[in-house]
Amino acid sequence: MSGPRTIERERTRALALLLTPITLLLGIFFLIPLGITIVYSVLEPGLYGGVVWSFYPYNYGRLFGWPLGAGEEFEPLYIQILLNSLKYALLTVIVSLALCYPVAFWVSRMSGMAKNLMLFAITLPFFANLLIRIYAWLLLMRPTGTINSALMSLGVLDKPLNMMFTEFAVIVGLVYVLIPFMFLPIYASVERLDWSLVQASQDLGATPFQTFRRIILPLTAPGILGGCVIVFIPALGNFIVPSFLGGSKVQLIGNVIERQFLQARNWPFGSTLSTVIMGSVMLIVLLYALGMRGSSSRAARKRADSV
Amino acid sequence: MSAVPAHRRPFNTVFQNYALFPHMSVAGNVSYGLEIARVGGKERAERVMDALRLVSLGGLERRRPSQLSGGQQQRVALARALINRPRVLLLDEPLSALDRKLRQSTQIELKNLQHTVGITFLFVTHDQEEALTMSDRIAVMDRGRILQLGTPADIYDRPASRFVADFIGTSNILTGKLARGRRGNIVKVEGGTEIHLAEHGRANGDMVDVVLRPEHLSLEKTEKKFSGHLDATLENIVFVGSDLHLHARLKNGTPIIALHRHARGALSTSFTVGQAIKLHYAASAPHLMERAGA
Repeated sequence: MSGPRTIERERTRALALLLTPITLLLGIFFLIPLGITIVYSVLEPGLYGGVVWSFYPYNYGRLFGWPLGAGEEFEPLYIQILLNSLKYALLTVIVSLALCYPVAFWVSRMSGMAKNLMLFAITLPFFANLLIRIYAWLLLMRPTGTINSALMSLGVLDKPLNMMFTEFAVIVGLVYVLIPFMFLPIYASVERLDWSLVQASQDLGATPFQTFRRIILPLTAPGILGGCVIVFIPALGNFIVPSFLGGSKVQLIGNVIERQFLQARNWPFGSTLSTVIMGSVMLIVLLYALGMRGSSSRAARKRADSV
Repeated sequence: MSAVPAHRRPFNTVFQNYALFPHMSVAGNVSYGLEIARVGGKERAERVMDALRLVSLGGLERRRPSQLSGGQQQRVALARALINRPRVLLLDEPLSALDRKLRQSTQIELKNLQHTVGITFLFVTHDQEEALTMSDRIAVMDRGRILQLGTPADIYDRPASRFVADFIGTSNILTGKLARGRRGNIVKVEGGTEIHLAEHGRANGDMVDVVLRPEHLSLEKTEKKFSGHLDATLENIVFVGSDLHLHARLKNGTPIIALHRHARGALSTSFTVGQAIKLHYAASAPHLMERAGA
């Protein structure tokens, strides 16, 4: 009775059953809020928060200069903040990549026990509350903080270095918060790297640099790409780090959105900003993915042609 | 040579697991060495095609290594290692991942290929049969030291030590003292067994190891002169197709293997386990070796 078709059907049913919870979870807590955000971005702001249900595209006018109406004015500052946020996110990605990539090789060559310890250490910060960890940086970096007093007592500085509420502090904070997300995917791809390929490359006459560029880098690229994407996105939307470590000097798009919802009580404009960020992130990731695919297939074609 | 960095040594390697670059096509893998050596354009394309044709992989240049069978991957590795025309090609157990049939045909192919390209192949293997089949010269190594260097026939017929004899082929190795017997030179093995020998240049009273290959032991007495025999008890008869392997034991408990070429199953029924047999050998058959560790 239980032919292959029955087994097939059984398997499909089991799969559906297994996928139901995550589908519901994503549907309820991700897609619906996303939909609400997009819908709110074209509604009229209510007087004391909330929304008025009438079509109101002028939120976008405030951001981009068009369409304008109903007393909304074009404010170029928001675009500037958005670009500035992109710059911070990019810097965060670059710094954390530069830190993680060499360390991943170092850790992957450790013996079992040391390796596990290092991986545990990388995830250790997750055990403490984010706010507490950021306050710790405040204590370290403020004028009377640990770093300054140490450097002054060593005689390196004669007056405290102003680190708090600077771009530097925000980058340090963002890198610190997001670095595990860069490290883990890179580590996974480095760990998988077959070292006999490196030997083979050297055997064929490649210098260490050539081996790195032609063998190691392309084979670990998926991890690098994955790490960059999942660091870039939260770095762009983060508002806790800039509000604590950047003070009023560094305003990122996350802070602006937070203020639209909680202080200005302009939910539609906050939604507009959110939608624009999401759109630009998706655009960047899409372009990057297309670019990667294009360049790899171009390279493959080039090799094939040259042969 | 160990002072020269790996990327400047004039030899190339075929790795045990092939170590093909998974992100490159077959042609990409093969041309890698030329790209590194800055051989460009037309010459590179031609040499890649030649190398692929040499290992009969023409037409597969656009495939990825993961789309090839084990034997094909092995040949890509070979083409990749040969493309830079090294002085020596090091093959590190290149056939160990192939099944028996494919391995045997590849052995012949490799040998032919070696004659075609005229490059010295340094072939590392743990398979003693493979070593005998493939080599012009064999170095038997143990713990990083060469124990014996010679032609396959040398190594097989005149092993220098117990280790070599044991490693290459099946051997019966007996230890005893050289003496002068009633009918000429003998080795007195513990437990009363005597092995008759032809002339040798050694002093009586020396302890030696003696090798008797299974194919030199026979149930019938073939030579009249200068021959001897071992008295043994038959313990096992193993049918391996072309031959019977007779597992027997001497009186002192030493196991002995003899090879018996049978005529169409005629003999296989005429043996019974536990029966006493005489294993004859020519006096020229036993080979003397320096006593191990002496």
